[in-house]
Amino acid sequence: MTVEFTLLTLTWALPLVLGLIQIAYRKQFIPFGALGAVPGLLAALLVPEGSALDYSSLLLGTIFQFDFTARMFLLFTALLWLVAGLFAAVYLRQDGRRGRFFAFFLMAMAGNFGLILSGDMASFYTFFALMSFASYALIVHTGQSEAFYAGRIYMVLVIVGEVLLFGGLVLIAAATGSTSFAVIATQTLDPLPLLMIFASFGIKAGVVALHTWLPLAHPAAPIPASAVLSGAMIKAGVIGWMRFMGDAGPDWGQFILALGVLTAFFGALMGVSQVNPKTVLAYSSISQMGFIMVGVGAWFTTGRADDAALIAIVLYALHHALAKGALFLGVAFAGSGRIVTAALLLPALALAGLPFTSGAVAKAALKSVTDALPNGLGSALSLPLSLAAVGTTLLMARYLWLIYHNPAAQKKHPPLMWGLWAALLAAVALSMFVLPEAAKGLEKSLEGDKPWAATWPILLGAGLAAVASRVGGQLKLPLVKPGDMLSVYNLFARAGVALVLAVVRGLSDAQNAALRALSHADVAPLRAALGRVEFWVRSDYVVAGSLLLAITLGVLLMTLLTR
Amino acid sequence: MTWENSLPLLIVLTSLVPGVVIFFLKESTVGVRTTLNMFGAVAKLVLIAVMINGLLNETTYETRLPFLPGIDFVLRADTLSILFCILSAVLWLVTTIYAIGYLEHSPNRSRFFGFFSLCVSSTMGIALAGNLMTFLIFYELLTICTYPLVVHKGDEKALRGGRTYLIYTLVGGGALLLAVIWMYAIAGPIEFRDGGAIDAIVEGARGPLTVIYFLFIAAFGVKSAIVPLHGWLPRAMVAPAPVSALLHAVAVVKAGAFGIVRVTYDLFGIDVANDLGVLTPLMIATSLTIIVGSVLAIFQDDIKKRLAYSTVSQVSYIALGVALFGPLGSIGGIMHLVHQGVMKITLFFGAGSFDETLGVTKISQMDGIGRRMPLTMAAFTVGALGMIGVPPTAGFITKWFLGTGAIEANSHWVIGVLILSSLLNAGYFLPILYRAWFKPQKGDWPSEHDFGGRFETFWMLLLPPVVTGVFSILLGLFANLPVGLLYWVRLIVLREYEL
Repeated sequence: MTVEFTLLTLTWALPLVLGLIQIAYRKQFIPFGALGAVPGLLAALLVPEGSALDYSSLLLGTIFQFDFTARMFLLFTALLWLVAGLFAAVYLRQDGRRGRFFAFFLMAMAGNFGLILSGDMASFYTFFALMSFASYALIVHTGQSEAFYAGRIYMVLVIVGEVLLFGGLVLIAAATGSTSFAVIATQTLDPLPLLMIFASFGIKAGVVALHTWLPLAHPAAPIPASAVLSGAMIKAGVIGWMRFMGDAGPDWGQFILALGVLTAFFGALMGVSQVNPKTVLAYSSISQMGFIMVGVGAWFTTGRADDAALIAIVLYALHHALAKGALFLGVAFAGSGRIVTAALLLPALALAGLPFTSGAVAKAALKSVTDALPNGLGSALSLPLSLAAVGTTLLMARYLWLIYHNPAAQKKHPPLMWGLWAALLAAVALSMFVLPEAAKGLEKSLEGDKPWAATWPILLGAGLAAVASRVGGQLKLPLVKPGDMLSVYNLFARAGVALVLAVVRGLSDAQNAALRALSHADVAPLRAALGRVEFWVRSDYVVAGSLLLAITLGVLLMTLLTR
Repeated sequence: MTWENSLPLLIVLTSLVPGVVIFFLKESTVGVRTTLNMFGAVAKLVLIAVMINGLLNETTYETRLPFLPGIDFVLRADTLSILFCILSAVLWLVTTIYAIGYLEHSPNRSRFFGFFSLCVSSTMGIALAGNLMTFLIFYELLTICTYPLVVHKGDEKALRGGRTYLIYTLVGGGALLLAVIWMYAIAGPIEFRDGGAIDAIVEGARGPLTVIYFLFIAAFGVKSAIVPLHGWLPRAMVAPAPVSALLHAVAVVKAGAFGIVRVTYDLFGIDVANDLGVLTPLMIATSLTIIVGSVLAIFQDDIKKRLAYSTVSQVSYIALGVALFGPLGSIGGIMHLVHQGVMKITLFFGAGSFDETLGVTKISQMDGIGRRMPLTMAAFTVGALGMIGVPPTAGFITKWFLGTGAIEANSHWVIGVLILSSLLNAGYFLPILYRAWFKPQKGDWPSEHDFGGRFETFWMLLLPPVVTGVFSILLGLFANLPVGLLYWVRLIVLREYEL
């Protein structure tokens, strides 16, 4: 039992076991169950890259691989879960159902950590399912009808994602003869499994057109759960793409890239008129995932060879996780005075990419990758990405405005809640200075015209926001209902269900008619005879049983005698 | 008679003898009856364990008695029969416990347990049958001794259900008899053999053999409820819950599926079946059944009826695996013999407990039941997720092998069937879970029964679903265990494909 083995196993097993204990004793509450995230955090800090585990008896032969991607994803995921979990323990201190909340919170945590460590498709799928199903309970926790509606939409898409993933992984396993990511990484896969995998994880990651559940579900959950949904779990989609899609090649790379730009704009456009700050943040997450998709697309375009792209992806993911977590937790303090809004400026501006923030470093890393793309892609991407940053700024302005004008009279919050939020804000501020991977990015973000390139979208966005706040007063907001395209999908779904219903009703009518016709046939004597047998068997079963015995024994005896 | 050639017979007798003795017991002699039942169940398990050990050491276990001229009565243990034996024996044990709890204080228990034991004896006979004639005897015996169980309640509805059951299964039995006689007529006194027994006569008899194969499928299709031969199954739901549980997981439905496996692999041989081109029609029929069963399940409000239609769908996974030519598909199909049994029996135990404890028989009455009976509902949830195929339940492992098997057999469209089936399964199971766990209770339960004690229900109704629920997870989670089910099924498949 090495330290690595223990830490990596505890990473997923401890939250799972704590979650199961908590579900068994729902009425009591494990106060600091969120500390179950500590082994994960320690593993990310202490376990050397390249460690691998082999639980060959589990599932179809489970392996864990602890590579750079896994370590970095685990780092921000564990940190966010830890802070959000402790925050939740205080935030939900008067909630009668917090036992149930924490049971599922811990199980979703176990799933999220486990899938990051997974080195094979079956175990990834298992942890992914655990996370997805457990988070349903987080989404519907408040028990309000909007939450249940959001939960229903979420569940439908989870199931669709699950079956797409299943189809994809079966096809991949058959084509490559392996379930190991190490093998798959070097393979070129068929378009069908690639499409299934992309769509499946695209649902989780909020790719445009697959995102409809997200603006409903992320805000419906209690604040700490929203933070992990939007900060950590959403990135399971990203690591899923990176693990499953093999060497997808430049065509897929550019497809993802283009869709990423579209998603970045779409999220901003739909989110900017929302009236619930959490919905604004959910749309912002969609938009930010667009940026990460640009990184993923670039990485595939270069045949997974570009380590700079890999670093850009994980830095962006880390930056977004911490900043979005801080923004969501900040909603809890809305209406607690100006100081809150001022403090929220830090993650908001980081998200927009202001120089010296984590966002600037992540964006610079991303930009250096896109600039190096072949065929003039780099220069073509430059302006759209800057304009998308304008969108981010607008979203953040909208969010801050909503927080600032939040009328809800606030009770006093316990110091621990403030402390945890402050810790997360500090992590946002400092993450880029303490991570060795980011240090180079920081320098790069200050080279040449980069500071100006990062700043003008923010100024433009702020200007637009100021104008909008004067002009937009007469508009009835939100201009788009949360979930946007969902109403169209619902229409199609209803039509489909109606069609199936009609077919089934028609068939069952036909069947009933046939049965009626049959039952009019003259079978009375047969029925009477059967009735007599029935009566006899029921009333005189001892005789029937003996007879059966006699026949059986007789047959046996005969066979023995004739030998 | 030596130990080796009496053991298979003993395995059948360990339930047959208690069953017959129970017929003569008075209703009130609960202690003796329970002891007999439990003794038989445990003895059977011990004997099977001995046999597994022997098989691993290449011992042959065969009971052979002269029967008809040229045709012996043969009970033989091979890897496939052991699989079905161990499944039946384990589930019989838990179902017996459940049935004792379920039927406490109800009338006609001697009759019930007598036939219950006979039913399991027939299943053992089917599992161990070494040739067609022996198989036929036990297969018909099963039909007959299940009937009193189906009509146990004795009211008009039960009798009607029982009548439908008899008509369907007797017609199926007729088809089987015809197929068996025809087979003997053209192939002589053949016996089941790994890899098939009719290689020598295939040429020159392709036409008749094809017809015979479809006769077999039609015969077994009745019991294993292949659409459109499934009509009896939902109507037989009038039976008491333990009967439904056993019917769906082990005895009747599974016997039909086992028949398809046995006849395809050990009579025709998978290569011959593939060569005759009979696998593709089977694949299409089972795929249709999988979809139609699931669609019909959505429209049922009665819990047991919904489960019944779900069985129609799920049992066809087994035959689908058989129809997918290639080792992976075979592994999936044969594994599902066990997986479906364990998962479905969990669901039926749950449904029975809801009925006995709270009088809940309809899905619309299940709101908030998770709070009242958390352990039972947890087991039910595991079973339901298993049916959808969510990892790490056993159902996922099945789907995995069927999916990869479909590609191996060059029938990619089957993956679409699996996906659609999962979606439909989710469509009719998740709403149940939602009601049970997330909706508040609507008024009083229809007829709540207080069992006292510290559990949510009588312990004999609680333990069985929890045990099988745990099994449903362990079978999936530890699928790759070096000595587990997957290992055993691989052994079977290696022999059938003569690899």
